[in-house]
Amino acid sequence: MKLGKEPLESGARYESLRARLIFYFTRKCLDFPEDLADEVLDRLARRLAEGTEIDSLTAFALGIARFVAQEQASKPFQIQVLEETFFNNIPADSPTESMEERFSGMEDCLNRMTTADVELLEKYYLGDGESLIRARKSISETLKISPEAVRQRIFSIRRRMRQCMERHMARIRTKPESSTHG
Amino acid sequence: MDKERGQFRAYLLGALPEAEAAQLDEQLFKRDDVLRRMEDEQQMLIEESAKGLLSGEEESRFRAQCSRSPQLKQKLAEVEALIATLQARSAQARRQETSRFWLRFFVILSPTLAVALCVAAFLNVQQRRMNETLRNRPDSAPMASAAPAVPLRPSMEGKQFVAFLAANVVRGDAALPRLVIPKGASAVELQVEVHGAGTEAWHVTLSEADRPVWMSARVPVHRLGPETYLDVHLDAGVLTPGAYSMQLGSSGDLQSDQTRRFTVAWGK
Repeated sequence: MKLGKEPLESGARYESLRARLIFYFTRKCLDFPEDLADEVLDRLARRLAEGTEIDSLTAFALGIARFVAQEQASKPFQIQVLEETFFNNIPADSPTESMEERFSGMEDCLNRMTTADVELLEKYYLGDGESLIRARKSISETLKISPEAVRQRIFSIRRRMRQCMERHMARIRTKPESSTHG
Repeated sequence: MDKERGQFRAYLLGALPEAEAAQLDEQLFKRDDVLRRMEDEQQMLIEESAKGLLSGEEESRFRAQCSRSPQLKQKLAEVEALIATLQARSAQARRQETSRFWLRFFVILSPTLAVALCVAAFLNVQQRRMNETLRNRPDSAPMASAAPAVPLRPSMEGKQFVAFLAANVVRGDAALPRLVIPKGASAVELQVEVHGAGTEAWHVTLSEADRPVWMSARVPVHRLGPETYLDVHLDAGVLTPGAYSMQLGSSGDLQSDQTRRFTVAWGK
């Protein structure tokens, strides 16, 4: 599916359309809005592949989304009864990180960040109620940037945190395997 | 909270009436700024939920949305973990700051404290020594010296009277120490300074007009600093008014024989 002229633009538009669809299915209180958004995008891609002329991609996507939402709403509530032996052949859980590992990973990632970034996160997140909003206004005034820019900076820090956490968790997941080989 | 934010929030929580929500759907799919504001509002909901700031109904609606959406649940978990970690770091930093303060405080204070303790210990030891000295010191104040009469004063122990007879005081018969025993006294303690340490026990003979009135072969020696003295306890009835001579001798030192002379009078 091509949503823009350039690949980057296309990727960004895809993500933004997906985000809109997730919001739509979330407000409809439907289960797994991400999956439903992907379903809409699949159907949209098929229509485009079939050569359907579309004036507004987003409006068309909203139309499909409404249809998918109706389908979901009309689906009867399904209960599946599993045989007793169903779980016998399911492999054991892969090791998942405990909260402790998650916190230690986050601590580790925060330690790798610059003091300014950590201070910004602290100011941004460690306020209460009204003071939270005041604290954020004060950040924006102190840094002499717009609230939008503060938010972007926070998102950027958190994106780096997420990447760092993913690396940390990957290391944890590989640890038990290496210890059994070693 | 402005009306538009309230509307976005209700939309995200699935609480907006369908007609209004449908209008907002159109806006969301048409306008990028609406998408951005929706993202902002969702982020605020996540943060407020993580910090427990949502109202009861908002919280239950938001948790229901999270249970339907793994992505939303993941976002909430991320923010919760981040806030918890930041809070723990902040608390730890505060504790460290407090510890550093006390550390600095004690680093500065400890030499001062050490000196103060030394001074206090020294003063305490000195005070104890002084107390010990005062406790052992004969309660008679004046040493019989040039004054012809030894002023006696009642000791603090009822009817016992104490007198101190110093050595090295050369007197003629006219200037003998005069012990004035107050009326009602039942016992007299004579502390008699002696020369030479000798043995631990001395023999003492007290005579009036060459007639022995009291004697003991084992009067213990006491030492207080440079002074050595015998402690002679007498029944007050022994000392009738008159002139007395006290012969002192140490059994271990044949050259130690000494004499003290004094007169006794009774007060009114």
